[in-house]
Amino acid sequence: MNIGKRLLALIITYWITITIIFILPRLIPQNPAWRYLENLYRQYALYPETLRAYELRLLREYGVGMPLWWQYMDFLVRMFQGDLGTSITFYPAKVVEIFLKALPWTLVLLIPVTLLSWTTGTLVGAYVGYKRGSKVDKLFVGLSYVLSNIPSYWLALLMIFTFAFTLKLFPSGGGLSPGVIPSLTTTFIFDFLRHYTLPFITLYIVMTPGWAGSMRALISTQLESDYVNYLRAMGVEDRIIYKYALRYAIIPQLTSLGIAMGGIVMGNLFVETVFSYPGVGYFLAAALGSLDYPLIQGFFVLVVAVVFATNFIVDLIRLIIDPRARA
Amino acid sequence: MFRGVRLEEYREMLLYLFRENKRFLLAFIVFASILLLGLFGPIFYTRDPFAMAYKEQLPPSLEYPLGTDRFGRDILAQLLYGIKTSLYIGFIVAVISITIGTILGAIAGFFGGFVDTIIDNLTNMMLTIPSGLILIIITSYIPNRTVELLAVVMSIFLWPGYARGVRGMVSSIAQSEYVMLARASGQRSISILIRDVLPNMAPFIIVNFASFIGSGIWMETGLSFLGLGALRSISLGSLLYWAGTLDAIRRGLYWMFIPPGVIITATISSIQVIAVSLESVFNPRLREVGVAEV
Amino acid sequence: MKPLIKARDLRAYYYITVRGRERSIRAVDGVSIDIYEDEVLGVIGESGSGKSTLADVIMMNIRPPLRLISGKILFYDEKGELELSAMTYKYLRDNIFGKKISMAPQYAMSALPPAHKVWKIAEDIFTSHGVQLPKEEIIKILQEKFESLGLPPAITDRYPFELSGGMRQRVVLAMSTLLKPKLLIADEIIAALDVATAKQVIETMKLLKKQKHVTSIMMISHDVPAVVEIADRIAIMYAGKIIEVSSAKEIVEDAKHPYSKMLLESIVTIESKRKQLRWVPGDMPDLSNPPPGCRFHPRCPFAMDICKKEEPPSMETREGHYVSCWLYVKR
Repeated sequence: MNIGKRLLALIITYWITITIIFILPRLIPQNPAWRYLENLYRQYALYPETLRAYELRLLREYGVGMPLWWQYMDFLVRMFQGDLGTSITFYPAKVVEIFLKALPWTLVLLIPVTLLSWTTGTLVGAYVGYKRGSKVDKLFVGLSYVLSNIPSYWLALLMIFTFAFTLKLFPSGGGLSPGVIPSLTTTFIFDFLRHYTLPFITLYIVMTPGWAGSMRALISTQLESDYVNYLRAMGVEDRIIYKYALRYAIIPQLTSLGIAMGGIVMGNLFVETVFSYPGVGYFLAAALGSLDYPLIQGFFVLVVAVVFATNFIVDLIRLIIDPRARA
Repeated sequence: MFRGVRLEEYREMLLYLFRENKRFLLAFIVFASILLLGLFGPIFYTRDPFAMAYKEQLPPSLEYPLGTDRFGRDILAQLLYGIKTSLYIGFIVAVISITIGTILGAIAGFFGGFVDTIIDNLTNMMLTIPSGLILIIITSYIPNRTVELLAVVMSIFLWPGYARGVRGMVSSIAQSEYVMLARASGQRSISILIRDVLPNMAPFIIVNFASFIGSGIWMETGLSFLGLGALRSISLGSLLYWAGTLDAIRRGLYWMFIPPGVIITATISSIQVIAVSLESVFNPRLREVGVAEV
Repeated sequence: MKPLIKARDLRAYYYITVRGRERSIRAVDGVSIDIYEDEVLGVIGESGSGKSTLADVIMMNIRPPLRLISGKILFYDEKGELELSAMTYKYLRDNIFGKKISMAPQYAMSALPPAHKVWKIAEDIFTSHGVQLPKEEIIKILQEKFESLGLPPAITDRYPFELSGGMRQRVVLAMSTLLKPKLLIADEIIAALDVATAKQVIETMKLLKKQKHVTSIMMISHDVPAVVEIADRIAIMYAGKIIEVSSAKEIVEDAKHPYSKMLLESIVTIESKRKQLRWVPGDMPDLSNPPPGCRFHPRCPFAMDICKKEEPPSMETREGHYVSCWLYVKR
């Protein structure tokens, strides 16, 4: 069946990708801690008795010095046990631990902002697409050329500079002010929102033009189709015709939303880093900087799994909504 | 030399663009200015971007039009140098992607077979996996990051999608009458490809080339900002990286981070407008012509 | 016969801007034609003759880049005479399109919204013209109509994408005649179909007329045998002009215009006594730059001097038989 084949292809692609990401760093290890471990291993190979217990544990944990296939098997076995290794930079925290701690932050930020930007973007795009060629449309197109090419990290820097540094309205970064503990108090909520606002606005500005642009294109295409011409020639009211066009245009737009939802789990490396917002992206960026292989690898495994799973679910949902896909 | 293509037609279309499309004109001017700045700026403004001095954290002045950073390096010099580097990287990325993509896509479209299957599967993979994430990870694993090496890595993510487009076009042109004729009359395939097929795709190739320059700059600036850019090189992204690491925001050194961002946005948006405008002129939409069946 | 449509000297051009230069394509260039009640008028012509544009113009479905330059269209029904060409687009959409005059377009494959059920589309057509009916009623009406046309009634609950090309075409015909318009304009509706399906579609049109779902039909096509099968009168169009009009029988047996004769001789039918295929040499003229005088003169074996200079007027050679050719102009 179609679904089965797609699922299989997805699993195979997933396998290939994580294997590649697994092998790469082990071919050219650059992490100084890794080299330290390699030296440790050489020492162990020559004079096993000189190694202390914790050093032995380190070697076992990171599998340094063992042949590649052993490390790979070890990695897979552990993966199925839910153990994605120990971070180097944040030693002794386990990768899964860090991910689970960071995930809520990312979700709380990205889910609302994606939904909001999609909604406003789609509405704007639908309106502009209807009025294609008008002054509003031309203005929109011109603006979106510029807005969609503003680097998110630059916008973030500008935001901090204007609102945090100059106007001193918001804090310049972090998830919470030091000393504030997550609890259902107004202090916590207020403090959290203060840290939340600038990243939220930044992401919103960056994301919305894209959604608007795609919806505009989709609606325009629909309004140029044959059935619209026919319905017009049959005297059907504009209002009703527009409903048809919307119905067809929104399906790809919804599909994109679904896929974007999957990508949320990656967080937004740029914005989170600039704001020191402790989400998945922030830790991933930190790991990249210090070449914390287990963390990079572990996050990658998790993120790609979620992305693939979401894509698959979106495909399934589309089968349900669009009767044509079932054909 | 090229059959089935009239060069005067293209020239006419370009002139039309310059005359009628105001947005294109604006974008062209912006991009040309940036290009000129990058190419000739360092010639006229000769201060060494790498030179450190004791004049630290100075705001813009006559001596230092864009101020200095925390090491006393001239920001304007860095900016000009960065423009050159970024444009260079974008250009290389475009060249590599277009070359590989055109060759492989043409082979796939003309001959089908093995190459075709590979391209198809690769593009599908590229579409499903979060390529941004993989790009970042792969780049961080590379020990000796040079500009050229980075360009190669970035091209990996651009060429498959483009190759698929090429394959589609080549395959449909290959079904056309004069190609069939050429093949039947015994012409060698490569000769047909170069003289009949490719010239008809010139607009497509050019538009994508322009677009890829933009993509290359976009990717490179992002990577550099994360510190994953080319080492020992100054690009627009790395300027922002330094602004971040040297804490320019909290110290209010606005001259360090505002100019690079403005240039990045201007460059990429102007290139995008140019690419889209070129495309709209080379593919006149049939509805504008208004005559489907009289 | 009672007139339904009187069109006088219609000129409708497309205006397009190609690379800064504005060009006009004179698709309909001085057409006068009458359509009577209870008849099928066939309009035959090659591709590029302007016949599809004529379809749009007759019902005044004119949108940019098409423009009506001059001419008048009068429409006659129970309420009297209406000057269609003087009405606003809004008026036409609210009162004429789909209700008094309907079109069955040549793109019938994609004319129906692909993922909406057939009854739903019908419902929206009804609603837009002020007819509010409950869903069950609509389905009943549709099913009855489909059945009477030889279509399976079950398709009311189907999606257009599930139907075959021929079926879609016939559903479009049914949709276009839901409100019992006076005139149905069928624009090249069998062009994309195989012979068997085309025959079914023609039969459907005959049924529609017989069962009074529609009063008159204007059938536009380049398929001469099909038109001859159903039409009462036939008009032949060339390069934006109608060059001959008469009853179907007369056109087939005694066409006067050289182009008509060549066109008819080129048709291979089972009944035809000619075994050879004779084609009309040359191409349709470029409508943005038509030749002076009679537009057919470059291809006409009987071209005289005057044909190259002046356009021939329309002469009535026999009752109801009009030709535009210098050969038949008595001096």
